[in-house]
Amino acid sequence: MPEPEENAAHNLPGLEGEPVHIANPVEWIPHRPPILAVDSVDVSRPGQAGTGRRRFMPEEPWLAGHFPGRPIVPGVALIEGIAQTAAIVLLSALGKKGEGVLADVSRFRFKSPVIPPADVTFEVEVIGRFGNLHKVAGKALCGGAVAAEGEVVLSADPR
Amino acid sequence: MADPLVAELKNLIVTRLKLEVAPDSIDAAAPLFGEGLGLDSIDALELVVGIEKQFGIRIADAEMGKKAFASVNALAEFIGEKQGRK
Repeated sequence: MPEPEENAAHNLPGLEGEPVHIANPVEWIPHRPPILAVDSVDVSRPGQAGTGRRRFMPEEPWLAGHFPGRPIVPGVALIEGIAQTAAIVLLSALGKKGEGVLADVSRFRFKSPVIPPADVTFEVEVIGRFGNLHKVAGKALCGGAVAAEGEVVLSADPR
Repeated sequence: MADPLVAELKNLIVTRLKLEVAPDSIDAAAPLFGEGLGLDSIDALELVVGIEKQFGIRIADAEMGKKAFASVNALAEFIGEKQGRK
């Protein structure tokens, strides 16, 4: 995760369960193409940690203008992938579909460009929790390299 | 003489939340949220993470947070009580 000092990964109480593979994220979150940023999510520790995956293709709408003739996956798509993975990690622990509402984005660094076609992996881990707000450290990896890393805060609101 | 824990907490608040105020200028008796310093719920989460890291004390829920975050003095008292129980 981004910084060792934030990685006092404790087992936060209250949320737990068996690992689960989410093959169809649209069954859990309301996001739809083209803003659906994960194809699948492996929740290793419900409520705590998991890994999302997404294949980005050059012809996707949000790559048309970023940039014409030279597609690069926008940083905001990588943040969204981390946030959507985290939302599913949180909602899976509650056993209910719903929304992960993004409340804060911080300390993001974009270390290498993601050039489609590209398979991106989003690794997330909850590093803090207060009330319904969850602080999540996340990484986007592509081709074995860290493309982006940082922290998001989101609430998980079951519907 | 000022309570060193109060001074430490003022530093933590300013550093952790990247506030553009001098730690000494924070009124230890003033509310941290709403009026007073005007912090919000995301700041509260950031402080929860910082306090756990620095003091090893977990503020588990909003009810506990309401008491702990009433003011810097209240937070110092809360941490002092928790440390006393260790």
